[in-house]
Amino acid sequence: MRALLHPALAALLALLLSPLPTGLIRKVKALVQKRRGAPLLQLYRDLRKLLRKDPVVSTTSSWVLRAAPAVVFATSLVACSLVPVTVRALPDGVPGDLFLFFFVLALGRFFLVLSGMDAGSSFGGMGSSREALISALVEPAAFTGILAIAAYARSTSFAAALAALNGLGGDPLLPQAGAPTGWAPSALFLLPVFLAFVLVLVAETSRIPVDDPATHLELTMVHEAMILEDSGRHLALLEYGAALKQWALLGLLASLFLPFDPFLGVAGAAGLALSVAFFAAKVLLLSLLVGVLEAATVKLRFFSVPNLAALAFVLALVGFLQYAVTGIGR
Amino acid sequence: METLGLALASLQLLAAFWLVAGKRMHSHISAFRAQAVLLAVNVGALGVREVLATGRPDLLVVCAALVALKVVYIPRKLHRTYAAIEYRIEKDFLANIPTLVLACVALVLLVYAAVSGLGASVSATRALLLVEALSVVLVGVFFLLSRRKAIGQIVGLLVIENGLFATGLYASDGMPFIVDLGILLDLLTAVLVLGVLVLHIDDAFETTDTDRLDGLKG
Amino acid sequence: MGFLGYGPWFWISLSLYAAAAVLALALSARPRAAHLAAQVLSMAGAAAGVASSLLFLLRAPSPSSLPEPPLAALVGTVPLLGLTVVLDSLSAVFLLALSVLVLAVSLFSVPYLAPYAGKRNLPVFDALAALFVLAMALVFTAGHLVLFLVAWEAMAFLSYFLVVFESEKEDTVAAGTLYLVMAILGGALLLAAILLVFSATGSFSMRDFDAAHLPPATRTAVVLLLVAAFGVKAGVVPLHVWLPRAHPAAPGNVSALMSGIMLKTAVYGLLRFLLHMMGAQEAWWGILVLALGLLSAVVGVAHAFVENDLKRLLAYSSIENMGLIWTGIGLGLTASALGSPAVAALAVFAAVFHAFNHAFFKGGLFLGAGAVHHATHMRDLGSLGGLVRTMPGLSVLFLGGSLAISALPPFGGFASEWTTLQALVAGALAGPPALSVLLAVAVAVLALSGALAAAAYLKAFGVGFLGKPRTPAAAHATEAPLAMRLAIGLLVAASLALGLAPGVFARLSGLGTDFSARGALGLQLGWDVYFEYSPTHEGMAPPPPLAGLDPLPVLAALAAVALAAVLAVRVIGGKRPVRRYSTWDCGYGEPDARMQFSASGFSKAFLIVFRFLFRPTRELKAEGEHVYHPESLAYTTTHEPLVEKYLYDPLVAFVHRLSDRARQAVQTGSLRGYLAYVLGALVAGLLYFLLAKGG
Repeated sequence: MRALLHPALAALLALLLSPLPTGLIRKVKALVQKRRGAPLLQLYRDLRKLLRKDPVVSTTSSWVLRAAPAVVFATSLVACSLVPVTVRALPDGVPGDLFLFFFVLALGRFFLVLSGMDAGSSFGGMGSSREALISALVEPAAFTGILAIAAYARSTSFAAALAALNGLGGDPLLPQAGAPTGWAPSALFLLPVFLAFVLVLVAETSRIPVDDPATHLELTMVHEAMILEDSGRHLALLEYGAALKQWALLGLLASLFLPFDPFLGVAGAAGLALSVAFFAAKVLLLSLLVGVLEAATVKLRFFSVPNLAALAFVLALVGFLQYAVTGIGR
Repeated sequence: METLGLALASLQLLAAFWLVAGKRMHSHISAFRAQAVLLAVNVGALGVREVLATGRPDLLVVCAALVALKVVYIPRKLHRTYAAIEYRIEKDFLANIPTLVLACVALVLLVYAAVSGLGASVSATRALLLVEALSVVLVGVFFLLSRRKAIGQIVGLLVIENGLFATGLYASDGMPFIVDLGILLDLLTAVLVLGVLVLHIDDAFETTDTDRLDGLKG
Repeated sequence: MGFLGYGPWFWISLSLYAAAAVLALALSARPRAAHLAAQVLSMAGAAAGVASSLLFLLRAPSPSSLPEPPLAALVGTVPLLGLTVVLDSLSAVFLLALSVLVLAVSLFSVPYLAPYAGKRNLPVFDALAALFVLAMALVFTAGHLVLFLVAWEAMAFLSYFLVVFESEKEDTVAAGTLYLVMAILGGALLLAAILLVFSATGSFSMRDFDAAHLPPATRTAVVLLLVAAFGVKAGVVPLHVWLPRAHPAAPGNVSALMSGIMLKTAVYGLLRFLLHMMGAQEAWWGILVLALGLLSAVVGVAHAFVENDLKRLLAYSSIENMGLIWTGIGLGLTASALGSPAVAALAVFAAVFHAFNHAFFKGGLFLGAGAVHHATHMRDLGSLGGLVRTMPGLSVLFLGGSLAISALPPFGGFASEWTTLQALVAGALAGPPALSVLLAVAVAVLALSGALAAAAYLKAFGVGFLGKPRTPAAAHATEAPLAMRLAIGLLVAASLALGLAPGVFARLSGLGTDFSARGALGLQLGWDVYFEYSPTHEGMAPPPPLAGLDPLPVLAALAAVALAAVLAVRVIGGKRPVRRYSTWDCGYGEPDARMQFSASGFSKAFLIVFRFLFRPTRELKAEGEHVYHPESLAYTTTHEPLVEKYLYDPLVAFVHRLSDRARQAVQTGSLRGYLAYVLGALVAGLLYFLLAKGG
């Protein structure tokens, strides 16, 4: 039963806080553009408003359009629950592995793309077609990145990755292994992998320079075009699902690549609460970074996205090659 | 036993010469039938010996199949096919008969030379048997080459098969049962198909002279 | 079921298939009765086959703790010929896949082929189909090389007749001819390999095959011949040209059998010959297989995605899946040669697992395409659409199959793809650096092909089943008959079960990876049957501990969260009625079916990104006087298959030129000329013999 505690905690945290990064990113963008911008909690209000509206469903559509929001929401939340929020979870067991994480997200995306095609709209079909291609292009970067992490952690499981990156896995650059230091110096070798995952995150969460979440021109939309036919509670679940997916990916970066935790010395429930809060702070910090990135770049031409994907793949491969050359993990 | 085999084999070769020397279709078919009878007797004798020795009836079954097919069924089928074709007097063979026979003798000499190259690895009797059987094959091919009419060519094919059968028999004291039966089955199909084909050729060209088929070349 | 052993059940199964063939021919005066009888007997035979393979896999382990020798269980001997039929874990796993698939396909065939009764020679077709299954069962269980070869060739020729069932279509006959040529080529290569082996060892028996007696040069030749022979059968790039033509040309039930299980004979052959009989002696064998696998995965899935014909899409996707399986086998061979049995076992298990899975979901998808064709008489995605409303049951099943083949949880395809990825990771972590880099590329290729496969099936389902019907035929389609849905449902359910409990298959197959035990490779379960290593091999470190996979809680969590979400939004938002309105139209008028995103459009962006692979062209033709208001617009796009253009076309042209010359010189067209060749050859042979002896 204790094994379920941490996934439940992670899921709860995501449910509560996941709309926040979206607000933060929008705020950063607005401030950079010298606008005041929407309040930080705007997405919470949007969700509440959407839930109280009558959903309108196309006469052309089928059960796929109505089922997809629930599937997207469920897969995103389960993905959130897989990401360990604190290294304290290790003794109770951390379930799942990195491949599973991406496959679960892929299941949600499959239904999202289908729902875009269900109403027979050309916008939906176009968004779906682009989403299918973009996700295929960044998948090699994500999986090669997983391989690089596995090379370091000797396994693709979250538990092993968490242990290794927190300095528990016998880091060769540490004087003595065994105690959680919250920091593994040799993990610096994974810097290119981190950058690769940032690009994967940008593509997976439909952000500039891959997609523009703020656009209102149907022809340039990707994610927004797919959900054009959804409204009311269906749209609420989709928006919430997208926020959860963003939380999951930000959390993945925070958990694996920013494994610092100054509160490990504090024992008991208070310590746990502090560690979890620190994790949330790291996620918000990362979302600030994404906001700056989004404000500083422009949307790429669609046919330039493959170059970005190739860059991400090369970064991940370099991360793995460092292992192959230096043999850090051996 | 060996002597009997040798005698039968030389008779088979003689039958092959009879074939080459013959002018009429009926004589071709009779030559083939005679050869088949000789082959069946040979197989039958070997079969009886095997039954007495090991109790396996394989060769007797093959003998029965031989008689049924090659002595009874196929000659009758050929006669009937021949009868179904309109009778015309046509020159059938390529060169005059004595030349053909002489060419065949040359072939037999070649086979004799080749088999003698085997040296001491086979007994003298067996070598002789092989010469006879292989000669039948070569004479059969030569016969096939020297005739124009389709039915004659079928007979040539059948004689070649007789020769091969005999070669197998003499070279290895009988092939595996299943192979023998398979060959016989094959033969049956071939004769059926060729019989139909001959009628079609006759229909289309009003002759069974296969040289006319050259015109089909694309 | 326990009252008979696996041996008797196996013979019962074969006899029932044979009886199905005989009965179909005997009743040919009454085609409907013959058809029904043949299919029912085939189903019974398949059930007996399931019983046989399951009894073998579940049999009590031998009391001694020693691993049993390969090809342990002698089932029997073919009378008169001395050809042995044997079962071991590998055979039994493939026999199980064959039997389950045949069960479903026979059930499907009852309504599917019924419209042909009386119009075509259905009894002969049924008889050939039953014999085809019989031949495949013998391929998987032959213990004697001659029997293997005979069954292999019988399988190829029988399937040719099944492919050209609708022989009035020119395309079908052309596809069948190409298939036959490639099958004969593959058979010849296999024959050459077997004869080479025989010339070195003097035995046709698989049981006492001794690879140590092969001289190195012969061994190299045998390996190359075998890889080419099995490559033709598996449709591995660049030997795949027949596959995307022959599979769509065949009727749906035959495509399901061919894609579902006939391709797997190549997988079985590769494992049986290179791994089991020859013992994976050199690392380059595996590298060759791995490289071919990766190439096939990318090229196959790329063509699948841009294909608009549903069955051709499925056929190209088969090439991709064979590529994934070959990747696993290649890694298994290499790891085995480098002396890392654990990695090898995991990789081979992953390959067999994926092959097993693919038999079910691809079989189900091909049957689904057959059902669509049955209802609409169309295979072109651009003419379908809206089937989710006209054929709701079939749509759900097709979606299930699509999820499975897109490697999405919780279906079997996900479990086997995950295992393959784990094997690659294990190999990359344990292997020498050069191999590690190759395997890193392999991971990336697997990721790309997995996501593109998902894209291809999104296109198939999204364009073919969702949206508005594009033709009247699609609009007026009626739901597939119950037997068809049951048959496809059986296969999709099997795929789901494999995905939820991969550990059960691992234990059952005896190919031994324990998924539930995290952090350990439980390889004690019978892999010794296939691997005998000399401890002198160095080059690969022991494998690292791996991640565990337990899909059941994941599915439970997904279902619970989805349900809770649906309930929660209703509770929070209150009862909100769903209003129905037409699709967003930018304020013009309701969009019609032609305004939907088309099948070509869905993959157009991909076509442009990967233009080096397709060389696409496009042409816009406007008719009418005014440039901006033409009366009609015609837009055509083309793309060319590179392999055909740059490998096969020059080859074919060369052979043509050669043949032309040879024909003028040698083919005089005179019968007498040919007979003279025969006599000349005989005389030459005798002379050669004479001179060789004399010299």
